[in-house]
Parts: sequence; structure tokens; C-alpha cells
Amino acid sequence: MGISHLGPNGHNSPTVRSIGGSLNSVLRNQVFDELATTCGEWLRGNGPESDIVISSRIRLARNLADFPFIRRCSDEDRLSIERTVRARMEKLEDWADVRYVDVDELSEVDRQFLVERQLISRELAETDGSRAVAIDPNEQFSVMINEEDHLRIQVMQSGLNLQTAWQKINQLDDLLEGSITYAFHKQFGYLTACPTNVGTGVRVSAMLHLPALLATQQIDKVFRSLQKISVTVRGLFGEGSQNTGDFYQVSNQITLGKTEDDLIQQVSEVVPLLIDYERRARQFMVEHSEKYLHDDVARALGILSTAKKITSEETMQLLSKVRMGVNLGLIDNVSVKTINKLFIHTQPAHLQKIRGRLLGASDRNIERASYLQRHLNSDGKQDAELN
Amino acid sequence: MVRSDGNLRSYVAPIHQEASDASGNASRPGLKPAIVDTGRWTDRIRAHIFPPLFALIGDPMKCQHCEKPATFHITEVLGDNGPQVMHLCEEHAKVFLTQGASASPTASVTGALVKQLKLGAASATAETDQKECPVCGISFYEFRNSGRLGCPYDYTHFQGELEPLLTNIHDSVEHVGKRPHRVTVSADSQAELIQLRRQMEEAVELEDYEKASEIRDAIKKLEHSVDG
Repeated sequence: MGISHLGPNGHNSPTVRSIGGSLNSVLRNQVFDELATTCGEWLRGNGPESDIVISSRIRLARNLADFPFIRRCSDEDRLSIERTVRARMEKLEDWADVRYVDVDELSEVDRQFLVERQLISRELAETDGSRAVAIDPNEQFSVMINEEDHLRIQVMQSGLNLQTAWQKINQLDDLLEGSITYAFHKQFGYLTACPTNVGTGVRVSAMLHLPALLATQQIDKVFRSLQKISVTVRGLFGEGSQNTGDFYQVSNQITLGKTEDDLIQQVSEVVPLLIDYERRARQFMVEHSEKYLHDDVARALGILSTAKKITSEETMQLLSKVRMGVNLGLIDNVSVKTINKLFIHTQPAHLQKIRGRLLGASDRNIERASYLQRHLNSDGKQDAELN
Repeated sequence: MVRSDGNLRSYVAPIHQEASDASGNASRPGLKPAIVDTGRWTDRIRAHIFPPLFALIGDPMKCQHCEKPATFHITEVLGDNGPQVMHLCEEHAKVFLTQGASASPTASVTGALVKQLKLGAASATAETDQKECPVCGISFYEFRNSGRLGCPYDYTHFQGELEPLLTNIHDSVEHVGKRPHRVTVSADSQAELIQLRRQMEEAVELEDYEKASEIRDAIKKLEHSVDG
């Protein structure tokens, strides 16, 4: 790819960033190559309660004070906002390693890649117009520009770690606010395009893996109860997504009238309840149906390790069982970290980035099976490669 | 006598307000989930694990007349046996409130209230829909349709209309959390900037480039003073 002539840190130097055209695309590809093979914070699988809580995430919605909200922005406005924010960001201390990506210039597969990686939302990927994202190389935070609001800042932590996530995002917010004037109202707080986010503009969430609770068929009732205390539940990729892989994102519903600490507390109190129920449900399964469970899990691993073609849906379903199996000690030659990575790397765009070329749906199914085989059959050796 | 302060909230409470008196409320039908222990392990989990959860949070309530979730809780103040709370889904609530014409004095008052609501709602909506923000030009109707506001100044211009909406969504109209550290420049300059940019674009569309250029100079000047 000819990156070597840029020098060891060439991609970070201001001169490279300001050059357009082919060098920028080289830079972009480098960013994706790195991301595709590395792990990132929330996939580490070693935070608190990480057998059930995959990640904790906090998101802040902010808007610039002197522009209309996105919907009423002209193309020029959007360009101005993006340029202004980028220019201010580049001057920030300790911002040198942050990767700035023009989402507008990305191919569809690259955008999809970032969505799968939870670094941007589907909305940012799918809308038109000038928009971008600033990504931390460790994937602990990303800042979307020109999504539903001008700025959507998010911080992710592995496992249940909302307090740390809040400290980090609070600092990040202060840092950005130092050079960007936010739209703020004495009474209504931080102003957002949609009134459902006004006030604190904060969405506190935890991603949970709840296969046992799901198996009891009471999970809908549990989630309806949560709604009474203003806690909502969504699927793996946020609003409107399905519950693939038995993952559920639990988050606060209201953003106005409570402090940020209150809202974090609210979610922090609910998550342990769900963890407890999931653990009890799992324990119950082990005590009363171990043979059934063990067989179910073993078959899942068997199919994943030997199939020659497999869909994304089936993969998610089976990986969910295997993940629980690993947590319960029923499978001992695969690590949770590997499973977490497989969830992401077997997604359509990841497969194509790792393979290095675009693939149609049925080719992807073959590639997916091949990828799974490689990584499940010689777990110890391959783990080093996946780092 | 039935209270006639016209505040419908005393009669009809949204479901999340009810949550605070969830414990030990005897007039709530259908609280316990029906658990049939067929011996399957899933049923046994339900029997052993979930009752404590529902005791803590409360089973979502069902309508007294059907299986749908109850979203209206209507307190009949002048019933035969004193105040009575009824838990109804939207459909049955409508039926109950509009069947008013028949027997008791209470029924006709509720009927009148419903009429007042309906009438009030219709005329209020038509008028507020026309209202437009002077800075970005969005009308309240456009906002209602898309669910998105046009600019920060909308929160000032539509304050009266937004407050009930915010109460509905967040049960509050006042921010109590974090505030920006820097003392922000007056909101007026910022609103003016948005307005000027819009005017400049209009001028460009009408091909009045001289005017557009003048406005652009004004914008640059204002930007400098805002940024300090």
C-alpha cells in the first residue's frame, strides 16, 4: 500500500491530514486496516461482570450555538459545522492520535464497518451530507459530527463500568466545550434537535447478554416493568434493531429534570438486578438441565467449528449459546474474548475488510464459515493473531 | 361534589405516576402472573425467580375490561363506595369517558370534560401550528410532524408549547444537571448569526449577490465578536 514513505507517525502529522485526494484515502484505509484486526476497548471482555455485561456506554448530545439544528441546515451549513469542529479538534491537547474520518467520503462497506464496530450509528452511516467521526485509536470514545445533533460524543468501557465512563466523557465534554460554544438554555439545559434528548443530553446504557432470561420466555414482561421506571431496552445496534445474539441494551429514557449522576444511578441500579436474574436463571439451568444444556452448547460449537457456509443470523444465535457455555465452564478451549471478537468479525462488513475485498451474500456465508473454523479450531494459536 | 378545577390530571394519571404507590395496592387486579408449574424447567424458573422481581417493580397492569396494558387510571371521586380507581386501556377509557350522557351527575361532568378537551385541543392546535420561529423559519406544525426542532432559538420561541410536551416526555421542564463552564455570549448574537446565514442563502437563491456579500461581511464581523 506504500504507507512506509509517510514515516512511523506519518498518519498523525498535520501535513498529511491537510493533503487531499489519494493520500487521504491511504490514511483512511490504514485506519480501517488497524481497526479490522485489533480488538478495541469494549470487546476486551475483562471489565466488571463481563460474563453478562459486554460494555457500558455513555453518550452526550451537543449542538453548536450559532447554527440551526441539522434538519434545517443547508449543505453549506453542514460543511461549515464539520470544518469548524474539525479545526477546533485538531488544536486540542492530546488529540494527536485521534483518527478523523470523513464519513461522507467512505464507501458503503466502510461505513457499515464502523456501524458494526459501534463507532458510529446507523443514522450517521445512512444519511447524506457532510458528516464525520473522530475515533480514539483504543476505541474508548468516538465523536460523531452532523448526526441527529451536531455532536454526539460517546465513551465505551468493557463490562459494567458506568462511573468510569462518566468521568471520561465528562472530561471530554469539558475539553470540547473549551473551544466550541454549545447551544444551552438556562431552563432547558443543553439544547438538542429532538426534545427527547434535551437537558442533560445524556444516554446511559449497558449492553447485556441474557440468553438464559430469554429462554424463560419472561423477558418481555421484565422489560415492560423496566419501562415503569423509565428504563428502555433495545437490541444490539440500537434503536429499532432486533435482538440478535441475545444482546440487550438497557438505557435511561428521560434526560431532563434529573442530574447526570441520578441517571447513571438509575441504570446502575437496574443492571445488577438483571445480572442477578440472568445468573440465577443460568444456575437453575445448570442444576436442573445440565445434560440438555451441555448438549445444546456442544452442538452450537460443533456447527460453528465445522460448517462450510453459515448465515450471520445463525452465527449470532450459536455464538450466543457458546458464549454462555464458556461462562458456565462447559466449554474450556475457547476464551470469552475470542467469542466477543467473533460476534463482530463475522458481521458482513468486517468479513469483507478482513478478507480485503467485497463479497456478495453467499460468498460471505462461505467466508464466515471459513473464518469461524480458523478461529475456533486452534484457539490458542490464533488468539495471538487477533491480539 | 366532584372537583371542577378543570385539571384533568386529577382524574386521569399517566402510568408512571402510579408506580410510586405500587406496593400493597389492593385495588389492582391481575397483579400476580399466572404460573402453571408443568414441571418444565422454564416454568420452574418463573415460579421461583420472578415473583421477587415483580414485587419490587410491579407487574405491568392490565385493563380491567381486557388484556391490553392499562395506560389510564381514572379516579371516580363520587362513586357509591367513595373514591374508586379504574385501570383502563385507551379504548375502554374512551368508552367510559364518553358514555357520560346516561345516569349520574358524575358521568355528565366527565362527559363535559371530554368535550372541553376535544374542543380545546382542536382550536389550540390550529393556532399554534401556524406559529413560526423568526430565526430559522420552522413552523410548529413542521416540528410536530417531524419530531425535530429547527434551531436553538425554537426553545425560546415555542417555550409555551414545548413545556407540556416536555412534561409528557420527561415529567419535568427544568434542567438540573451539568452546565457549560464558559460564560456563553448572549443567545441573541447566536440567534442573529443563524438568521443572517439564512438570509444570505436566500439572497444567493434570488441571485442578489450584492446583498449576499453584504450579509456575509456582517456575519464575519459578528462571528469575530462572538468568538472573542
